[in-house]
Amino acid sequence: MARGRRRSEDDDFIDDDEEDEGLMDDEEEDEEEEYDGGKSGRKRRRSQFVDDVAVEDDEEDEDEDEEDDGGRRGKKPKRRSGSEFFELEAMVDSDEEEEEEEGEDDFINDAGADLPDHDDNRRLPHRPILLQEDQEDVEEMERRVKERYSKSNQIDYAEDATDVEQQALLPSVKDPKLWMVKCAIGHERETAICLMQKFIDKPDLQIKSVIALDHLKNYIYVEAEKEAHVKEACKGLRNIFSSAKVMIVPIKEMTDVLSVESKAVDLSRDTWVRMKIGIYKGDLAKVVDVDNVRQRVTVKLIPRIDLQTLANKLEGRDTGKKKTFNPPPRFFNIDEAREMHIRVERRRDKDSGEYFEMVDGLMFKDGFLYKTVSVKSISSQNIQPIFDELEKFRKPGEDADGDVASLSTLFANRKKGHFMKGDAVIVVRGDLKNLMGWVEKVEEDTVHIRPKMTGLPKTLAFNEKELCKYFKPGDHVKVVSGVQEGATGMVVKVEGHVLIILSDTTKEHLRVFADHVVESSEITTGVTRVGDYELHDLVLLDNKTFGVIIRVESEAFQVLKGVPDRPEVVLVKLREVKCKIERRSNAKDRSNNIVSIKDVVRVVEGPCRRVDVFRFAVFASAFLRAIKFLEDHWLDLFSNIHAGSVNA
Amino acid sequence: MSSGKRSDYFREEEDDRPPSFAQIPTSFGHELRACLRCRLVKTYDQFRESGCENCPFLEMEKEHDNVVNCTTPNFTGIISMMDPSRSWAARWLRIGRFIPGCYTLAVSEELPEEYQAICADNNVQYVPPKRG
Repeated sequence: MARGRRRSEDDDFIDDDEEDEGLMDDEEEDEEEEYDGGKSGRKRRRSQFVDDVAVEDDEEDEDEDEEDDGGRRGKKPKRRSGSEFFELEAMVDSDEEEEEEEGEDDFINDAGADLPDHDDNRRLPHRPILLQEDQEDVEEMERRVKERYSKSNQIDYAEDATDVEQQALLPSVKDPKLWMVKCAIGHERETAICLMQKFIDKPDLQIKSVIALDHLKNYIYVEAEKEAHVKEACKGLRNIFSSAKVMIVPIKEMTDVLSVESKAVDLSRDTWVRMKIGIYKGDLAKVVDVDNVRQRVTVKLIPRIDLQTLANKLEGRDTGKKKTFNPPPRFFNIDEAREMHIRVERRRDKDSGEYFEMVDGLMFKDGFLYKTVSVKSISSQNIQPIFDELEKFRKPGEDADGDVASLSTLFANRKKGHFMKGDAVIVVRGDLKNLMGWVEKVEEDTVHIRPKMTGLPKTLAFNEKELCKYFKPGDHVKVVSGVQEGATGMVVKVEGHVLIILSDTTKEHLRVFADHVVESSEITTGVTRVGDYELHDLVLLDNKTFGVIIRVESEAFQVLKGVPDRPEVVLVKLREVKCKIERRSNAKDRSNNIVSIKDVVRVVEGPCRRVDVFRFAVFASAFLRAIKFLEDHWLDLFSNIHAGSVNA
Repeated sequence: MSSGKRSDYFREEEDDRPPSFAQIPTSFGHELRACLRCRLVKTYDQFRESGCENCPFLEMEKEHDNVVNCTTPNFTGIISMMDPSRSWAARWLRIGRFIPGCYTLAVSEELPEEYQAICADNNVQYVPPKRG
């Protein structure tokens, strides 16, 4: 084979690569397949390329002499033979059985007329002859190799070898180089395919390959020995300008070109994601379809539709005002829409075969809005759905599914080492569902528990996905993940895998997944920071008002705003906060002393007098917010809050 | 671009010799699919009509189901491989033994088990995609 010939003249290293590649494949293959005698584990592909057995011989001889064929040897024991060249059945069988021991022979014996691919079986018919000639050598070699590799676990070895193998495949100076060529944007794949077609029409084109990466726009890579080859190939192509620059890729960066980020491929159905843009920004959505080719996903959302505005629009009536508010999420109801004289069409989606209601180009089903968006506009990492959101998604009558869906999210987000010895758990899946017990031992994916029920074996093993932590009312716990992270409280009610906890800080009932909670006697004072904003930050709100954050909740803040005489506390969502206000101006107190941020002052007038305040924000005409005071007593006294000037 | 029919690539004299190139995809859209074993890229119709040139044992030309199960539209990047035996990229991607054609850098799914067994039965190697 031409390839073989060329290579045997080259570096041993390259030779080795090639050989090893073939071998490695075998090894990997072996991992995959069952270790049964006979034909398993053999690779056939090479044979279609090899015409001349003799050539292969030479190649192999050189290799044996010069290189360490550890890779090959190690594999030997598993090599199985069977060959299209055998005519004698008996020989085949015996070969197979003895393969393990005599495999090495094939390499050692250069006397054999055909020792083609290491992975091929053509050598076998000649083995008996060889044995006679070099019996002792062979046996000695065999012993040596066996010693060397007797301890290696076949599978482990294969894996190491794969990594080593990959190293060995690194580009060398003798390999063709990669050249980066500019092409028409959006037509990268088309260009690559055109070049393929061109090569078929004109096989004397000297480029080796063309690469079009999904994430790299405007450029393709061409693999060739010389820049001239690249330019020649690109001549006359509609998508490549004749003046296009051709840039070489440094040898060290060549492998980066071909490495694929696996993250992009992980988005799958039924994953929970959050929208990043548009009116649904921040909303939880569920993936129903993924189109990796176009990098788009179809998600299912709770619609935020203002039926009135929609009706107006469809009837051509001018809505006048621009919509400034975001309609709240609400399930779509066909009857309601029809009442508004909105035309609802029933259409069948050709890809999925399901029926949808179409309104104004939007697709609805079961009340949900199905929207196809680019993968860039959704966030799929680290999505922690709040219990309420999941509840909303789960429509009545869908309980079972809903449960499984939320469970799967839980389990997906679960950290390793989640269960600890002594944790109380309950089985949530499988035949032993609802069985309670305590964790005895935790292994990689298996958890051993001591069941609560009598009559069962002392410990039972479960997959960690079948278990869920269990708490009983009265347990004091701390939330360690999810949106309520950091909160502590007492369990007051248990509903399956959901716990209702009375928060220590806010005295509210929190609903959390049992999975997100650990038993703890710690009492926290609450979360003080969400996103970019901290407790006591002065923030600008959407509608041009501002206020001070007096309490931080899961994804919202309590903000104190208003004027001195009329304070107002509003609940503001994280996304409704425009920005922080950081002013460094100073105010003056009663005695005309300068007061600035973080000074401790005392309020001497008004209902808040005689209370120490140690922190305040200064803005424009100097407000003072009795923040510390609020912090301690806001529930009781917020009606008495004054924002006023300091009279020290 | 030509229609990429198989007959274009056969040598005139011998019809029974294996083709020297795989069919080139006839479009670039949603119909493109990659073979889960060898990562060859063609359109659904091309697989259905002529099967996979590297994996004839998967018998895609016989059954629509085989095409659906053994190929995927979820793949990343395209590499037109003109000379697999001499290309460094082919070596790195382990497609050096396949026939020239358009391949993908990575597929998103594994070949289903029953087809993996078919590969084994035919003494053909299957390497599942790496999960980063």
